[in-house]
Amino acid sequence: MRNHQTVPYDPTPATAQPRSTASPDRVFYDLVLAWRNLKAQPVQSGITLLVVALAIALFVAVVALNNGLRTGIVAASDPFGMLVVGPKGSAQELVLSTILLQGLPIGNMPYHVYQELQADDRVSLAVPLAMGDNVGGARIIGTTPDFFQLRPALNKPPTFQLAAGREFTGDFEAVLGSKAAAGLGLKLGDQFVPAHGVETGLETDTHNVAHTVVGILQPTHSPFDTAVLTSIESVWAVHKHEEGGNHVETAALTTAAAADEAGADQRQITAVLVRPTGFIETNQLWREFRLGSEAQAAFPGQELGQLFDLLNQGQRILTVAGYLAAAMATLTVLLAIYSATDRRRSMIAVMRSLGANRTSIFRMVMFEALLIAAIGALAGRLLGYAAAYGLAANLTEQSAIPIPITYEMGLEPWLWAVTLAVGLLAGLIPALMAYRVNIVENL
Amino acid sequence: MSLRIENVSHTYRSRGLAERPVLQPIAGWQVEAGQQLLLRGVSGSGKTTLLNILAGLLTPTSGEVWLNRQPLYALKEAARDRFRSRHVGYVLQAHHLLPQLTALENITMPMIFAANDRSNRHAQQALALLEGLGLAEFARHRPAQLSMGQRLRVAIARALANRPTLLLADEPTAALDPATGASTMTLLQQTCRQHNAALIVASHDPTLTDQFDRVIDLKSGQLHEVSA
Ligand SMILES: Nc1ncnc2c1ncn2[C@@H]1O[C@H](COP(=O)(O)OP(=O)(O)O)[C@@H](O)[C@H]1O
Ligand SMILES: [Mg+2]
Repeated sequence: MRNHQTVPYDPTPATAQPRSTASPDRVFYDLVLAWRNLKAQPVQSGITLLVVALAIALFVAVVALNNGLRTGIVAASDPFGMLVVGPKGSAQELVLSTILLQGLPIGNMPYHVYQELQADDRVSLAVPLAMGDNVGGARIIGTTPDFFQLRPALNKPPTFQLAAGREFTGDFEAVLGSKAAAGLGLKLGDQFVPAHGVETGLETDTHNVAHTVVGILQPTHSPFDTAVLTSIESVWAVHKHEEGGNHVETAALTTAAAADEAGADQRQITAVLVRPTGFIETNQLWREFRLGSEAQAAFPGQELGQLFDLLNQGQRILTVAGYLAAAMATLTVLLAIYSATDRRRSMIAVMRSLGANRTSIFRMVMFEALLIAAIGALAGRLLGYAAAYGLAANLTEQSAIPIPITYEMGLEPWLWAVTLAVGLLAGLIPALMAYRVNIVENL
Repeated sequence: MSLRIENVSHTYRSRGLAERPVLQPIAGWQVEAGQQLLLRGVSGSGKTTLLNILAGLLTPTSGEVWLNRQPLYALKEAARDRFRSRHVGYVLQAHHLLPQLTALENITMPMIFAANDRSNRHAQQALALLEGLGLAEFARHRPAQLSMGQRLRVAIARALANRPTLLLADEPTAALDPATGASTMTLLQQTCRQHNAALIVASHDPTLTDQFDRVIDLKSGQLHEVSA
């Protein structure tokens, strides 16, 4: 196209040209210009930033919540790492209702199941649980003082330690979990009257046996913090007292009246926590219960493992949603920067006329996309952790399982990779357009 | 300063458009150091095209431009961009200040492009330039906060930022009222003399003729020397 002139006009060689590669300082200037461009249109920049932030927040919240839930459940089930013996039915529901106090107990079983376990040589600790009434929403659980021997491992101190008072010894004495005490506003020596059933609901009917608070537990970060512990006999006595009433029983001892009529052992419990003496004994007991017809034995670890599998599956699905959100965020940033750059063609041509080269213009536009992605990602962390925190608080409110939300350090490299990908992909096309801007046609 | 063009011609070729020869081959033609030259021509005669070629912005269809002994179009594009920032000041027709930068920042931009650094001395020099053009108090104003006349003066300061030996101005006063245009043109010429920069102004304003060392008419793609 161009006939090149070969004859030099002046034989004196031109002075050596400085290299046109950019110094770090010069690159930083491109970053400053990118920042100024973003600031010049705060609304577009803010909205695109928010879209990136929401995508990142989704990733952060999902992972933080899943890990928090897992940590919370593990911590809550820590002292119960043994066999849970309960009525036949769903093993998972048995475990959830017994050690996480989620949902209603799956049913009742005769007290002699506990008595036999207690007498069994292969059992080093057996703790019966009989759930029934509530006081102001706090679940009343009948048990034995052995409950206070529960511990995560033999070499660890017992989990449930008294903060004040003593363990229950006689009937109608109660030891309150830390949250139950705070929630009910009860202190040592106070008295309360249980309401019927495990649910708070609109229940107004109360059983007229006053209980006395004799002890208050230290916080354990488990649902038992919201429970009220009494002797099993107290629970049975309350129910005897209200026999003949016209209630639709929902919990332990529902069949007390029927059992009475049948003349059978009317003493019922909901579960027994069992620590066998060893591994072989554990398996023996488990097998025996499987063959028997009265009760089942479940491994909390196994049942919770299944729960975690479910959680992980949920996380995987939400992570796919996160990728979709990140892809949409990329397109949003691309669109915003493309149209901004398109409108800025003449500005780019002016910069070129002032001595900026194509590479520097390319860099400036890439920086715009990367800045949006990076700032959006930082805001996304704030949003994500805030959302996880709020949801965790809400879930804890409902389930009494504490869900600790912690900073997910391990997520960081991956978040940065996503951020970089969003920035690079969103910036590339607008930056190439800027790179190719024809100076003279845009001045 | 030395500016010489050899055999420069230009024909616009755009897809879908007929070829448009704008500049006929211009044999040896040069501008001396410090000279002030008026390039006259009706609209569409090719004034902007020639200035763009002289600035190293538009590769001519044929020929070469020698600025300070450097054949401009023998340089790679990035090197030419850099060379331009150090040797040529260009006041664009629409002034084209960058809207998101202050007056001062508009002037430091080419300094940073040329020097490859962001040192503080750029701001001091830019402020001195603004002072020289009577705009010291507007340093922190954005272009939108300046009058057209003030914008032109900022554009002049920006063109002089790297102490170029050649300053090109494309119809700089076209957007101004005659009085402001005349006074700013005088200021531009004075400032160029102060800075020892040769000046080429493209304009179709007939009243300017007397103020320039040389006047050249651009007609039918040919340069006609009017006075020497
Ligand atoms: N990028 C371009 N592509 C095609 N034709 C162009 C282009 N730029 C200018 N022209 C044509 O070249 C001629 C000279 O334009 P220009 O140099 O801008 O003249 P002036 O500045 O004297 O008004 C005009 O006829 C114009 O239409
Ligand atoms: Mg023109």
